[in-house]
Amino acid sequence: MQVHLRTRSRAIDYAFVNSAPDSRWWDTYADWTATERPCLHAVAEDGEGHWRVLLSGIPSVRTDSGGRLIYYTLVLEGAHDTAEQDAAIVLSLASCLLADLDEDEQGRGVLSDLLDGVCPAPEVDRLLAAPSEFAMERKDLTTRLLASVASLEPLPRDAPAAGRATFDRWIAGRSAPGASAAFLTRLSALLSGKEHGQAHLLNLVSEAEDVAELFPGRLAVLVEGGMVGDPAMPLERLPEPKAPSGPPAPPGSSGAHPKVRWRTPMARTSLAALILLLLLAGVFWIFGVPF
Amino acid sequence: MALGEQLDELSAILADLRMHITLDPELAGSLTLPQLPEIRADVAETADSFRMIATRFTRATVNLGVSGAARMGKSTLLQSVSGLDDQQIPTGDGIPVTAIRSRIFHSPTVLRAELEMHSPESFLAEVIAPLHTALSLPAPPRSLEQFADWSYPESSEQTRSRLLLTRLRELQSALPSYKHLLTGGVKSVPLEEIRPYVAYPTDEEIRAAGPGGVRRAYAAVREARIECPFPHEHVARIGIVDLPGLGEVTADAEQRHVDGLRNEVDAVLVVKRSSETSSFFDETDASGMALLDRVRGFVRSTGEFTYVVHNIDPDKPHLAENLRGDLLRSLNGGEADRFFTVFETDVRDSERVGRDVLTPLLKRLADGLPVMDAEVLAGTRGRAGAVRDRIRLHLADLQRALNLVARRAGVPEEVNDAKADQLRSGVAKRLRVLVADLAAEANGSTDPGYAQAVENAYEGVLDWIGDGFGRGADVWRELALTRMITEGHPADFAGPEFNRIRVEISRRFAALDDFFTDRLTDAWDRTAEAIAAECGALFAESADGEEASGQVVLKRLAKLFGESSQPCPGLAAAVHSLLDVRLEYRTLLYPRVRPDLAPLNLQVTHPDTGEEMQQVAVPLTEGGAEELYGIFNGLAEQAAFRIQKSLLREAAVPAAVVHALVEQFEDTLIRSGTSVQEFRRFVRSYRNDLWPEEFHGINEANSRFARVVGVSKEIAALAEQGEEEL
Amino acid sequence: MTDTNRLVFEYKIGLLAPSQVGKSTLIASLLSEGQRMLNRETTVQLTAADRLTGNRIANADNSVTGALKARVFRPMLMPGTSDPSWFRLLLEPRGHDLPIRFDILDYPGGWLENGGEGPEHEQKWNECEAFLADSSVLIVPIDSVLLMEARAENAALLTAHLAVFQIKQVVLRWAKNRRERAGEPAMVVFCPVKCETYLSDSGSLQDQATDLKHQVVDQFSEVLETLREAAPHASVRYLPIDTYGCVELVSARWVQRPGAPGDIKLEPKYRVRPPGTIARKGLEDLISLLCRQLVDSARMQSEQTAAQREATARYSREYADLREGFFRDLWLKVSGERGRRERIAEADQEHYLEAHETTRSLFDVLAALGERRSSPRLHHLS
Repeated sequence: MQVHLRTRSRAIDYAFVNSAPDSRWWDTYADWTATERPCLHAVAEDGEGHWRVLLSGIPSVRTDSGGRLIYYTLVLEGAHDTAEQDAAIVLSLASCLLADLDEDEQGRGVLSDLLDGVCPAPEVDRLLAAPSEFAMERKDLTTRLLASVASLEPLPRDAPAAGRATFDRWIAGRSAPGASAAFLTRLSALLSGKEHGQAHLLNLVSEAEDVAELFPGRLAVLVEGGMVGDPAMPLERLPEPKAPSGPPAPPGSSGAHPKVRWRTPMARTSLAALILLLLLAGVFWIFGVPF
Repeated sequence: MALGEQLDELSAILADLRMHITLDPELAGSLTLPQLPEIRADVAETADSFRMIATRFTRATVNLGVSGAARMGKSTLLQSVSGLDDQQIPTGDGIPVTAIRSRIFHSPTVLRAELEMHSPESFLAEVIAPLHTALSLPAPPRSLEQFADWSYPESSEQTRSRLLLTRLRELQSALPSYKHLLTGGVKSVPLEEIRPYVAYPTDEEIRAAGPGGVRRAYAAVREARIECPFPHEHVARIGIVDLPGLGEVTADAEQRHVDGLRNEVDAVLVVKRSSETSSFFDETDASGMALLDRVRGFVRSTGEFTYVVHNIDPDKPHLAENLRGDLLRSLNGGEADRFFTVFETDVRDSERVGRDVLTPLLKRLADGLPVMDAEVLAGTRGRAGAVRDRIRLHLADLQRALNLVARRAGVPEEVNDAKADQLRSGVAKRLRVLVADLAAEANGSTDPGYAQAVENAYEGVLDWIGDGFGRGADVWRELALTRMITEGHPADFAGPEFNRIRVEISRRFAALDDFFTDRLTDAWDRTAEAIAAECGALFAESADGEEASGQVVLKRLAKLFGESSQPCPGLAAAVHSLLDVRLEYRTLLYPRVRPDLAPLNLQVTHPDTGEEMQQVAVPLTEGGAEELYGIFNGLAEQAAFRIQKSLLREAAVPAAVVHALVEQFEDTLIRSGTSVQEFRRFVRSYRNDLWPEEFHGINEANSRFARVVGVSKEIAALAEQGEEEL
Repeated sequence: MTDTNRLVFEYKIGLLAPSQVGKSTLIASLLSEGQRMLNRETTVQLTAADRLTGNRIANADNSVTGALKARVFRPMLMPGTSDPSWFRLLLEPRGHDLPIRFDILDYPGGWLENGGEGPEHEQKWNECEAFLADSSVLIVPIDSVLLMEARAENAALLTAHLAVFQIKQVVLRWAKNRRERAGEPAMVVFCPVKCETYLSDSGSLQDQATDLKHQVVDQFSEVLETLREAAPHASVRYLPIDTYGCVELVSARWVQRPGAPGDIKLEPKYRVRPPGTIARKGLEDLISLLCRQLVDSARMQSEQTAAQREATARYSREYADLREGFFRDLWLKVSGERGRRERIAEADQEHYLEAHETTRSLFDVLAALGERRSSPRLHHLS
């Protein structure tokens, strides 16, 4: 599993501290969420043997030189057949994030402290100031990060409501009853490869309508609800995406009125020709031209 | 007296100067004080007059002098006035009796006599010497032994001389009897025993004494002072001075006595008696009156001073009639009391004396004395003034002569001028370099010392703010809350607090004063250095080896400019301007900083709209106090930050001011209109100090010259002083 | 179903500034206050083009306002930008069916500073840069505090802190693009932000407006030069905009920070001027500037289209009226070809008229917008 941590220092803007992911896959979801606030993307698509998870908006105690909030972004990528503990780590992180949001509006909690512990300010300053040096330190950082996360106490997870059919596609407020449990279950399934699809914690959506174009497949969405939307929105099913329409009908003449068929120039010409021919035949018959 | 000494000194050094100066003798001749001895004498005399006046004005009694030819009844009058008898005031028929001058003072309690005895020297000087002179004898003996061994001629042709000679020989022969009395001190004698000390021996005594010679104790007595109660009560403050009989001793001795009495008596009673032998006012009397004029001194009116007592013998009224008429004619020109007042009395009758003489006399004196006093004072003053004017005149003449001398003195003017110009251009060049350096410093990058000083002040202010404005944050908030709730409005707390904070912030930044002082001192040091370098030995290190600071050197320079014998006012003014500067935060920077402190106020006026904006409108709760603390913190920090910024933007200011200052100084010193002349004058006065080796030879004459000038200045000052004291 | 002949107006507005200047804040206040302001007016209205953008605007605005509560300024409640995001807006003149679409891009300022050197975002930055270079309007927010609090000894570093060189590169590219489309209006606005400390019309007790402008012109002289040479037809404006209006500077210190230009960074401290109400002077001017610019661009585009369509209509009319000989004509008639040409000509004429109408409407709107007086803050630099 790869873990990438992004944050900023007092002087230097956001950048990955230890290593950078290969692609910015999360840009696809840029319309639905603001990474500066707590959010989560989990993507495990058909045909690809790996999953990708992004957690962002985890506040730090540090501030930038203008006094603004600094936050962390974690990007994790792994293959379906990874060790159990990797999946456990991801689940742990996700559940921590949700729990922290329950406690504090800004999402400041266990995860913040953990990441602050892994990234003290001087180190961050140093590493960001010299992007091409300190390879060893960066590896150390990753190791420490993994170790700290692994040492997190697993949080108790509510069992999903029994008997309730979990929809393929659903949306709920994060603090709605059973929502986070269902979410974590879905996440777990995605990580293990049992299912394909996506699970997101989004902070710019408030209704089902907002996520209509997000993803056609299996989708679980939690509404973060800090600035936008209601975090207690009850779970509701997302409508199936509309099937794409058939080939478009031929323009203009295809649905033309039957009567009109007669009026086409071709038709008229043919008619004219026929009348002429009959006339000619009549003339010939009158004059008794034997044929 | 100091003046006298100074005059002597002046004379001496003038002589000295004359010798050394190499110029035409005519000029040298003018360097004198021609009337020095007279002046000297005048000065001494004036001093004496003042001394006497002092005594006169401090005298507690009204002194009456009694004078008159022998046998006129003087002593009798004295007896009547004082109540003494023959034992103390000897009278006698026929021969003169009173040998010495006595003063008699009224004292209700005491009866005593004090005799001032001659010392051998004074005896010889005051008694013997005048006799020698009058007798045209050679120089008087220097010691008593010499006197004892002197062989005097036996007799002389002239009557007067014969008399004097007799006296002299009597004194000589009786020397052993009074030699032991020549102590020079004061001898107290009971009144009963006083007669031998004050009177000539009677015939009987002479006869009784035998060949050994009679005791002449009176010879050793200079003066007697007797105190006893006078019989007349209202004459309590009278002193009587018995003046010796006129024509008795030599004119010289008389004169001396009389001189000594000047200003000692307030009025003189001339006693005249008509007798068988004389009922007229004759020449002796007239010369006696003339002599009294000397005693009169400055009192203008003789009539106020001299009174005549017509001693009438009631048994011989016709004699009195003659004298009366004569007195009327000779003294008063036919009109009674026209010039002189005449009292008629019988001196033997104490009561009549009191009634006829003392009472009216004292009445006259009561009116006349103050006038006489004023006249005496004015006269003395006038005298002194005259002396002083003479001195001044002489000094002026001398000064003129000196100036002439100076102009033609040893050093030719071309040399002087060349040196002066050289000095001036040398100083100019160095100052130019200094000014250029200062300009570079002013325009260059910020002064790190200054920046550091500002930074320190700023940090200090921030710390103070952070510590709850010096009170502690919690305490401040509590205080604010309490006051707000009590007064119902934050303004009562906030207003004074704003003031306090403004003052404290300003005060802390005012600590930059030290920095400016250093800057200024540095500028002075460098300027002084530049000048001193050109001034040769003038500012060489002081005796104790310490280097004087720039300020001290500049002060000295200003003094030299100011006190130079030929004044350099322009140069002195330039140095004073440089020294008088004040480089302080208060005057220099505070005006620029004030706008930054303006927001620390309850209400601020918006610059554009003119609207008054309230800064403190908080709820009267703990939260409100917290908010108030936040507001104050923000405003105070902002003010401190802006001040620090303004001050650093002005970072060139101290350097710029110093540069401007020194540039101004250089300009005034070198390029003012009078600069060239003044430098020349300066060099003329101090060239020996500036370049001792070069001007060594001329040094001597010049120093004498300077001394002359100096002393004459002192004399002038003393004369002025004396005038003031008057 | 969209009418393909209908005119479509789509524009871009780009912001050029390094990190921490306040791009996100400016966008948030611009859009939210813009909506409010234009709602009061009758000429145009501004709306989000889709719900998500609407949510984004609300999110950003809440973030900004939330940092100033109860007269205390808490920047700790505001996060910085770490990923690019698009705002899709719609400007609609009232009474006309003429929606004008425009997009604004927000991105991490550090990408501009680095010039896209970081490998992880190089591609994305290129995308962003392309967007910026394609904008009709470029807004250049400038940190006034940085400008005015730089001491003499830091003057040399100021250029680096302002990222003038990087801005110049993008501006150059933009200018070239604009030159190719010289018929379209182009505008660059230099907007000093965080300037309420220095301008007395915001309530500051000191007025340093001239100083500020002088500094801006001085520091960005190279950029102005580039504009003058490469895109002389572009209009250049200077417009200081308050960030809050009531937040002013207490102090600003230069602190050692490795990694920043010259290894020092300015760290400011702020306070709230009572009574602490948000009033952003200058913002209304920017909004009307943008509106006018967009409507003007649309108008010009419409004009060009109308001109084209007029030509087409004429041509097809001519073609329709063309007589090609008796038999040909007859054949044409019989075969219905003439009819077809006729119809085409009519359609083309209609389209032309439509475009013409659109142009006229937009012109009216523009005239109405132009009536609004601009404040004394707005200056011309071109």
